[in-house]
Amino acid sequence: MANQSKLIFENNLVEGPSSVSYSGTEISGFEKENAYDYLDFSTFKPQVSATTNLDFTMGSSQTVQALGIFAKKVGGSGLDINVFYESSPSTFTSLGSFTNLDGALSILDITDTTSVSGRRFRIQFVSDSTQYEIRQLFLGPLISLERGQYVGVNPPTLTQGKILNNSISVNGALIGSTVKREKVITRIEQEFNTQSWIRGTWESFTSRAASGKGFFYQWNPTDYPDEVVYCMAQKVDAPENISPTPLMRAGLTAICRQPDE
Amino acid sequence: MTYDTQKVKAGKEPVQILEIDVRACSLTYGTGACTASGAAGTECFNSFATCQDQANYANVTKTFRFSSVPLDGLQSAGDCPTFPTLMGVSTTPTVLTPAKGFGIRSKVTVNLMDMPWSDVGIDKYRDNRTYNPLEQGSFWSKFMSRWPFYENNEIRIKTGYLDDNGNYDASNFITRTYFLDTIAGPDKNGRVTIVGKDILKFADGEKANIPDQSQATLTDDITAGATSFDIVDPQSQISNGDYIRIDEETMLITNRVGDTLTVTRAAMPSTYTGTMTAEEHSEGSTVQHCHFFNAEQVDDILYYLLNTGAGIPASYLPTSEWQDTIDFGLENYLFTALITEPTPVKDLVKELTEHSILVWYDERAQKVKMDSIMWRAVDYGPFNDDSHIIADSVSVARDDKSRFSQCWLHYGLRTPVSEMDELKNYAAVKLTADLDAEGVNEYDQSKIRKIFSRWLPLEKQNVASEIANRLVNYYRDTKNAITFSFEPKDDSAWTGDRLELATRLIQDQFGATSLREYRVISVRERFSKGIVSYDYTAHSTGGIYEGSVSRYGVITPNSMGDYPSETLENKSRYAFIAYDDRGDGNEGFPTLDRPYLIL
Repeated sequence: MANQSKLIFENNLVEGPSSVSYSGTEISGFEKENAYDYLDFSTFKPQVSATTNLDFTMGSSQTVQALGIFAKKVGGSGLDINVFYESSPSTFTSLGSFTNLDGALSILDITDTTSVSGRRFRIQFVSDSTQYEIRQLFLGPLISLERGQYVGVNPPTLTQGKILNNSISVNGALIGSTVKREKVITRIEQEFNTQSWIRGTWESFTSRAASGKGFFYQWNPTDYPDEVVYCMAQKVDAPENISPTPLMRAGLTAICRQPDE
Repeated sequence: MTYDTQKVKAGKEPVQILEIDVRACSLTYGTGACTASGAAGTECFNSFATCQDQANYANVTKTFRFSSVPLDGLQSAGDCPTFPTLMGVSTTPTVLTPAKGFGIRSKVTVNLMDMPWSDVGIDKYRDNRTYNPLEQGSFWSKFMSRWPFYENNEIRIKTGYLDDNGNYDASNFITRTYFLDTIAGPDKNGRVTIVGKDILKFADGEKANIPDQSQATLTDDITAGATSFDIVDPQSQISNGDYIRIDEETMLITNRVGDTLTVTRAAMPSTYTGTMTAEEHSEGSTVQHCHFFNAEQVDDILYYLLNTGAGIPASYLPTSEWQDTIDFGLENYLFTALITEPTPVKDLVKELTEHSILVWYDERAQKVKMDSIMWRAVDYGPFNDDSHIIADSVSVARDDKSRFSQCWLHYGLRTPVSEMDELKNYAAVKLTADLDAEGVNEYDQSKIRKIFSRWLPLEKQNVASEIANRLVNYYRDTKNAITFSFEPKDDSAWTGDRLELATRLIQDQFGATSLREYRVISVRERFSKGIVSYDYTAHSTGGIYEGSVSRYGVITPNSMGDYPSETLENKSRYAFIAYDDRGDGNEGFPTLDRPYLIL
């Protein structure tokens, strides 16, 4: 079915590693933790004019299939990222390479890999002299929703709603106006799902989302694969059985962050 | 781009930012000057409350920022990011009561959401901690343990607009500065409420008194005739040349050797005309040192009270602006008073304001302002219903209660220890009455304002007369009290400023909407749901009918030109005799230009 949205909600950069290290020089207040704290307003600044590695020493059986990246737009064109896995001690195998990621809000496919305890995932930053900033990095499994979404789902990547407040003078002249951005809100709706998918995948997603952890959401990977938002759940519905049994329905309301303008 | 260019644009996107300063240590745990030596994971949080080597604590200012929308661009190295958790800001503005005290002082209440935080930008040693700060505790709960000594720290509210690309630019913001009073929460809903007050809170009696409380005491009983005696003075507060007060007697110290004082008994400055009697005093009695203001100008007294007394930094006290106020007709205001017991600075400033003076905190200029009730040229305007006043925001009231037709200014306090609110303790009263205002054709009644002044000795009859005349002239008529709202494009006028405004709700006898002059009594910034507006309350400088106001001027130098050719500043400062052609061939001043009273 078309329009089976995709998610990265399990960030193995947070859930998997026993230790994290960065080979470059960190800037106080913009340290590596900001890249995987689920918060889009804190940023990590990789070292400029250098190739530096962010290494995550993993536990066992951590699966990665995609890199989710949300980068602040600073106006440069020289930020590349390479993803590696330590396939044997101190031997790193490339899982994917991506270029020009300034301002990116993207889900990038990498080679499916499952970690062995003590081995490292490496995210390598290749930066020119521009100071780039990373809002969020996710490395984890890429989950497709079980069903396509139906008419009525709002594309969260289109124009952000705005409210214009116009001030009128006593005698009726337009004397000023202000703009307030509306929240970008979307619904992820699932119907006619199997009980096993709800229990095995959806519950895993919503349990994380309900604890305040963000996720990357690609609402229509078939037609608009570049349209990705970074989301936080606002309301998580309890799944319910629907007719014809034993199928189920579930849903979630999320507040979304679009790429920087 | 600047705030003034951005605020006039249509489609501007308003943003509010809160900045909170805290005191933090610049050292690194166990390194250099810091001798703390705990195990890894038990380090401090670079705050005094968590410091393990307080003797070597090295104070610097650390700033936390919170915004109403996600905002990049404020964070510098070493800072936390700007947390987009600012839920709302409400302001209680300064309200002026011209020549009647401090009025209402400004206050700001800020609501924030609590959140988990990784301690980046806060905890230098988080790699050593044995817990994940994102999963243990929340920002504000931890803040309260790390920085419990937050009271009186500076907080700033910045209001402004994103640039045309939706980005932050510091020059597009204006700042209002307050001082932290309370932090409540986080509550069960994760909300935190911060209250900040204006800098004049430091003048409150619980914080600042002039003179400060003496700890000196008599070591033995003394007789009424003793001119030398010993004291215990643990804080070295008593100096040669000081006046001191013991019980109800003041004395002048003529010599101090060690803890032995030689004094002139029952002494007080010569400006006091009453009598004082030397009395016996008992061992252990407090020897209170006094502060003597000796023929000082108001701005100098105010500076001493607020800077030395209340500890307000000089950067908040624009003495050159105050001097400008003094130079505009207050040159004769030389005040004298011996303050013989600890008196709240706030009360002393309030007393000063009753002498036709205004003192208030301008949170936007971040300065304590001083002005007088003297008529001066307007600062802003003209404003009108067409282009400035927001629809449905205007209302007009008549401030009947503030009007008075007589001023009884009691002065010449007989002794510095006399009760200030008893008539018998004053040598004189200056009574000024406006008989026209009291006549049957006007208000047909007398309304009296009484002022008890410790600052004017009997010899200052001329100053008492000036003050009483000015007060009656200013308050003889009922004033229009008008409230209205402006768009940000017209927000330049602020508390204390004078402006010209015309609204159809105030008309002349012919029904024409006429331009009137007002003083801004209060301004409240409203910022809600993306809408910014400024609610003004202003009082007319004259009465509710035209022609009732005169302006003051000093006698002009010979070099002064004719009235029409002179600058606005000179017209505001100097008195001109009626011009022989007001523009229509007749004698007098042009319409709206008031006649002068010569100082």
